[in-house]
Amino acid sequence: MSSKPRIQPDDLDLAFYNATAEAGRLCLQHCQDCGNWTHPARYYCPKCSSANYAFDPVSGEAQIHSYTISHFSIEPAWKDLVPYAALVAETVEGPRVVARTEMSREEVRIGVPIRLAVEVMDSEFSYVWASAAEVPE
Amino acid sequence: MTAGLSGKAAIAGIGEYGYYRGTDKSILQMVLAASMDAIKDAGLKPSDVDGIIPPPGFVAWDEIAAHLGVPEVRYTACPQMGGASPVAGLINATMAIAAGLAEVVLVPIGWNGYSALRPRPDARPNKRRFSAAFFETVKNYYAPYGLRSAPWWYALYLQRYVEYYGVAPEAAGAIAVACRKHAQLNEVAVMRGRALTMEDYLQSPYVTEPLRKNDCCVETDCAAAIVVTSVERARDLRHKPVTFLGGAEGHPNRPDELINRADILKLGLDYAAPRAFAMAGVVPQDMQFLQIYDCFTYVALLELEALGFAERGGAGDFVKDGNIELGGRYPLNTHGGLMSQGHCWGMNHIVEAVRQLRHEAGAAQVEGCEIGLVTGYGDLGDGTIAILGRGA
Repeated sequence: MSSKPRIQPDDLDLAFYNATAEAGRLCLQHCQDCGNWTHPARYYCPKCSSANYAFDPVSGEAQIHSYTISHFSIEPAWKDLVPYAALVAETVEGPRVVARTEMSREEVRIGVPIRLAVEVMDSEFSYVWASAAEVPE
Repeated sequence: MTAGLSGKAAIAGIGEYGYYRGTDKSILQMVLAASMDAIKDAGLKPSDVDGIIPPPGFVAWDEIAAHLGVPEVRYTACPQMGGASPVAGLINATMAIAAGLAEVVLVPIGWNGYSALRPRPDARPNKRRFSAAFFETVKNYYAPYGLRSAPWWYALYLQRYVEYYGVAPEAAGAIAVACRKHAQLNEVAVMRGRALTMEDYLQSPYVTEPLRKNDCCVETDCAAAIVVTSVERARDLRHKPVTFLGGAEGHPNRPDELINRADILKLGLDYAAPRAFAMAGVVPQDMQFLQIYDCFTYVALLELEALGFAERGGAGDFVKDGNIELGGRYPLNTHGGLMSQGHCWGMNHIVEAVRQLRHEAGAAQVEGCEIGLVTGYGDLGDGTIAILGRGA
């Protein structure tokens, strides 16, 4: 169980977190005209300039694009958790999100396939968690 | 061939306040002190100033004008790009002067980068903040994951640089060691008297991979300022003018977020550098010193690549064997940089470039230098560059 950060998001950031909490799945901004996915959300689609969007669930399939392993923190919520990893997870839909993980140091490498899930803290914040994707037999 | 703003203005005055780890002075007091020094250094008075480009946060143009006693402000603007702002301010001042909107433009910056994080028990919190949208991005998407401040944000892309391109820690270490070596020649450098060898660097503990403690610049209380005027007017003032030869700003797409860019390693400077060299009519190999914005060693390596001194991932060859140390081909951060002089948002890099081109850099002087460059890097990758020359 994670401690809940108080971030008080506004506007599209709030809409993103609301949609994700309601679905219990990671929901990203999805252009209803050209199908492009965008994160963090913005008012006009960067591909077709449409303002017609929804927050739709993504598949959860992703890979590690980058990451950092933190060995030091002064933050109460994190200093006892070192070393902890934060991943830059690239979804197959396109957008990248920061994700937590309990994968081992050896497993965390660029290009490794992962699966994303969310831990809903409340309607205004959910954590994205990554785990190693199961390799098909 | 030069173009655009090349040769349209010169830096006539420089001022610095610092560099300290702990001070009783407010940010405003430090900024005013550096500003007054820069005005006097130019041989001018506050009443000669008619343009003010304030820092992107903490203090505003109107109070600077009021406290210094500037009777008439004809031009003010405020670039909002963190550590890329001082060079952007210089470009903006040049533009205002070239356009005839102002004659003498003051560009100051300062902060209590040390004391703000370690406030005295009786200190009142500083209420002035920044307006850039990236603070929202950080608050909503990075900070909840234990990525609270700059080392943690930038590590998100720097780890890809290190792992994908196989960048050795010794490449970053060469930046840290060169800056520390140069700081030994600088009386006001925070890290004067504290040597750093490559062995020391490699044993430095990780903060957040790939950043070790010695990859990070030093938090300091300080301020610095420049006074910019026309080349003609600068010739009649106290010092040899330092001429603006070329400059540009550039920004990653998208600028308000760090990880959703097609190429997360492409800095604003990648966009800006070719435009600046074209404006100045020179090539990178003409440079005789490099004052590179060095908030983190690996960012400085990426900047050297953006400038064209190496291919992506190849800066390690450029920085080795003393090439970036005084006596080498491209002395880098001859004042010690953010790494070892202090973090003054890179305004200290402009001040040092001016000292070099005046031939007043003391023990750190690059013999007979005529031309060099300064870069800025701010917020989530904004980039700026100015190419400066010794005036006639």
